[in-house]
Amino acid sequence: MNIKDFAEKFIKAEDEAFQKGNFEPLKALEDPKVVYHMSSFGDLVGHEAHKQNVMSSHQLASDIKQEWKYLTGEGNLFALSYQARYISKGNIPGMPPAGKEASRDALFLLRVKHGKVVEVWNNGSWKGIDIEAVKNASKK
Amino acid sequence: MNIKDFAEKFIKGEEEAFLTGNCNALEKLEDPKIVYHFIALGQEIAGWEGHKQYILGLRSAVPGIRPDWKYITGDGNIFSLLLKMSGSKFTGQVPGFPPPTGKEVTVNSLFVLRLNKGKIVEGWSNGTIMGLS
Repeated sequence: MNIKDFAEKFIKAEDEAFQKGNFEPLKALEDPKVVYHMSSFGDLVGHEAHKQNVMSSHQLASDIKQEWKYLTGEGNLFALSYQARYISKGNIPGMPPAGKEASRDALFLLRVKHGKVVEVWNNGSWKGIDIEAVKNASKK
Repeated sequence: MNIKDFAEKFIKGEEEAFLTGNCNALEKLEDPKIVYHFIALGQEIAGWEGHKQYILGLRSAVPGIRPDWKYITGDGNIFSLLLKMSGSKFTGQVPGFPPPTGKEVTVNSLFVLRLNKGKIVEGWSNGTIMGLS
């Protein structure tokens, strides 16, 4: 499979996980020890941690709409842009009041080894969210 | 030249451009028709000359600004870098830039760069940029 096809498969798997809660396709594409270097939240280590991260976002927001776009790729590397819109549930400090929108715009770089994603870097901006307050609230 | 060596050369070229205003080393690494997608700024810069003017403008707008680049990974014709900048204030009035804020400029951005025939032809960046508006 070439890297663009792999990237498209990853996008579909992410959508399936976010929209339907079905993590099986994503699990098949990620190394169990995958590391996500999240610019805002530090490192997430392991597929299970990634899964929990996706699930926890549904506790904070509803109507999550995300759009992935393949940018480039070669060998074992590919890059994606990511845009997401959320409707806040207003249940945690740092998130907007219930019913208000927040958004995320980010660049992702993913490294594949032996046909699985092993390492991911992302960086971007949040709108409507006080990310430091969310981080502090998440630690409690 | 392998991609990591190229990336290190690019970092030196960027540092020289930012710290001294000498863009010659950087010019040799970029295609004249390079396109930069600065997603966080909602801005695209097309062409080497545009990139050069952006760097020189930023040097004037934020005197003393110093980039801190870190190589992350690379494969084939693609490499990725992390850029951090802080410690300098946006005080200079420069055409093409918003009015000075007087605030410290901090940047934390991920870059992905693509080469063709030994030159960078396209770059994407996204991250947090504070103090410019």
